[in-house]
Amino acid sequence: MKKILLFVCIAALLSGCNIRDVEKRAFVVAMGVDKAKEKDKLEISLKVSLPTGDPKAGLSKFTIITVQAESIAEAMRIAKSKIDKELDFGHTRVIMLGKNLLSEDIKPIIYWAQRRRDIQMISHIAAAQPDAKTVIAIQPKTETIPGSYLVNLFDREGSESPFVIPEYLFDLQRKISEFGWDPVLPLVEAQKDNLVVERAILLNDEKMKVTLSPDETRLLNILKDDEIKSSFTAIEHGKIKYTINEESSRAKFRISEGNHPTITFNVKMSGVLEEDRVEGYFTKEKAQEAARLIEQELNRKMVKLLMKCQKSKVDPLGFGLRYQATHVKKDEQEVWNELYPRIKFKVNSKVDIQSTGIIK
Amino acid sequence: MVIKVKTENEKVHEWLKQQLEDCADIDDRELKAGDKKAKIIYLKSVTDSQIINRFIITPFYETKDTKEFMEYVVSFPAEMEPKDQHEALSQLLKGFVIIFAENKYVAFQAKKMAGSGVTEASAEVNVQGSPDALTENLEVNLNLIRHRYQTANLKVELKVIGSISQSAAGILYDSTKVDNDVLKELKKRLDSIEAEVLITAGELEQELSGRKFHIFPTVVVTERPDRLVKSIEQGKIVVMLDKTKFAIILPSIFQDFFAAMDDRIQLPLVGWFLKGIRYAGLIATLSLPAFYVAFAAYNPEILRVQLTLMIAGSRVPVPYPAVIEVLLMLIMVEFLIEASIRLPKTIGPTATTVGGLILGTAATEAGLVGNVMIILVSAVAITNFVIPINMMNFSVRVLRYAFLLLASLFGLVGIVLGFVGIVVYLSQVRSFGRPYFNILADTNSRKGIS
Repeated sequence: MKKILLFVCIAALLSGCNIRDVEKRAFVVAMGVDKAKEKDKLEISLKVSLPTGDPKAGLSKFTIITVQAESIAEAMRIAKSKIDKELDFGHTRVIMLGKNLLSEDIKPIIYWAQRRRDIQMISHIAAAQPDAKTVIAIQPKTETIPGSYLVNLFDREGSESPFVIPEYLFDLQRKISEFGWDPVLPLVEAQKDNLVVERAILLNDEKMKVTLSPDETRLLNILKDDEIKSSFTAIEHGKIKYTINEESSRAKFRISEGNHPTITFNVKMSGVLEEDRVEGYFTKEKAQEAARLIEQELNRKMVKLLMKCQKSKVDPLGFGLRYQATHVKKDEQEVWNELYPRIKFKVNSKVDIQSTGIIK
Repeated sequence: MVIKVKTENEKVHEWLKQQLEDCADIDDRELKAGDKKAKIIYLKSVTDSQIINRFIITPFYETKDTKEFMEYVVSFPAEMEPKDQHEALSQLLKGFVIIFAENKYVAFQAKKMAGSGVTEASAEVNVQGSPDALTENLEVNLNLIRHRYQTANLKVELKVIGSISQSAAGILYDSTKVDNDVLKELKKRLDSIEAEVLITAGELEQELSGRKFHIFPTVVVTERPDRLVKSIEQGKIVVMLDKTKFAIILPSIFQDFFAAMDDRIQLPLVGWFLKGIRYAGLIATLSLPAFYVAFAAYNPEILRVQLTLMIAGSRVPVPYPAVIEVLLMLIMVEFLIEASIRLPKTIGPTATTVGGLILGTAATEAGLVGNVMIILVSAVAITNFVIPINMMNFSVRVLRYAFLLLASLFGLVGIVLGFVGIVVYLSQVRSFGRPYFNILADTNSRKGIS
């Protein structure tokens, strides 16, 4: 019994100052990193949520702490003196990187976030325009909890937009260190007091290479084989004829070598007719026509997108990794690096209109 | 001068009177009619005067002589012939009438049944099924069991324990199904009990379990005859103590404490669901306060951000750290539970309402404890009552504080440590040589081993 008592006493001392009750912690819900105006300095903005005692008052209060320092780790130390509570990164679900920062090497920031025990690996990384600080400070009207707007978008918990390509911290790190797979970051744009995510940025392993248009972002999402709902329009001679709501899609690719190395994509999608601007019932013939028009359009656009990636020497779909995984050579990486710029793309899409909605 | 030589009878009579000198309830009278003569001695408090009148006094005056009277008395199955004066004394104390006549003395049973009738179970209530509970009387209890288990294989062995209380303990088992090792072990342990007074089944449980310090009960203490019968059918042994409403079942495994008699009545799916609920309740009641502390003081990142902010918000006005907050409220609830158990049934609900509702609301409004805390504490209190066997219920109540301590020292790791510790502890516990924590055991197996 004495031994047990002794143990308890010692154990009680061991915990020391580690206990810090939840109300004495400041939860950083989002973090932004920008290039500071001063040379070689970073500007870190932390969105800290402020809990209120009254649950009816809501949880949407927050404050922004901005710190400038040479390194992020240094910035955290400085930030500690700007708030009376312990900064807690356990709920940092979004890390924004300013667009100006993307033209430089982003690796140090990612590795810093990776190394932290308390930043969760399921945090989302996104690019911010015009800069991370502005984006973080905006509180859209529908945001009920600080930081929840972007998390809902990236998690696809709330809105399920085909224009959002979320990137997790762990995945980003993996893509950076992996050969033959390059990261894609969603671009968050600040528009007055709202945030819009509809474009994506392609990076090579270090810096930004090319920004995609919303339409290209959506196609990339399809090619990534993400189960995402979208809509496609059949246009003939510049006139909108039909729009279908795509409900499920599959995308697979095959790399064939030989004299004409090609990457062949097979995209299958099925959907429901949403809009029919042509007179008459939606007959089987019209369905076939609509599918054909959409298929042609898709094939053309997708090849264009793939060639765009190829031209900017990025590989967001992991062709290189696939090549490496299926070829056992001593120098498969060099072979691929030589092969990729001259490879041809081919896309076979297949659209299946399953229903005409609840009317004919 | 005639020297009166005391007969053996007179000596015994004298001795008995001496032994019971200051007992106001002793009655010693002489029956006399003509040359018929007899002496009876008995304790008024434990005997039934009607029986004495009808079977002893009336026949005495109706029979021709003392010899015929004695023959008449001896013919009853209730009659016994004590070996010596010491046995006579113990029989006297049990409610026998000692009759002295014809140079011999016999004991005649005239026990007063001060026991209550069969009542409804109050500690182990169920919805359907038999409402009967055991009574304080061993014979009535045996009757309850015999009626439900009508086979000659049901053996009843009587043993007396407690040097002063002289409590009769009935060992019941089905001779074709019982595990003889356990039976032998039980008898060995019963013989080795040295207590002077043994009144409740709980005490017997502690004496039998053979451990000084143990957290979980290793035998089920129950008041339900149907549970007893089911256990006997499973090859278990029932020990019933006279003068108590509870009996104990052994060997018991961990699972037995989470089975209510309702489970067998319900459809299988419902039964499993109910069982699942109880285990969930066990885990919740053990770990919820600990989780709160671990969460609030160590690992706020494990919950969703909404909840984190809500808890942080509710804790803003609270002046003390989470451990103190939890401890205060838990102890408050313990007070409430204790108070409502001991209070008369008519005031009980009032106390709970006043205590629970008003105290809880006022405490949060005053900012002494957080809202979330109140929800948690009531959840803990409720989940605790999900466990059907009372003894386990109490064990878990105490164990909760161990978890709280661990969580306050080590956070989440402490809770994991606590669960690992419990599993390790349970795994080495044996109930009469049978593995206690045999979760996969077939509960119908008489060996307790799957």
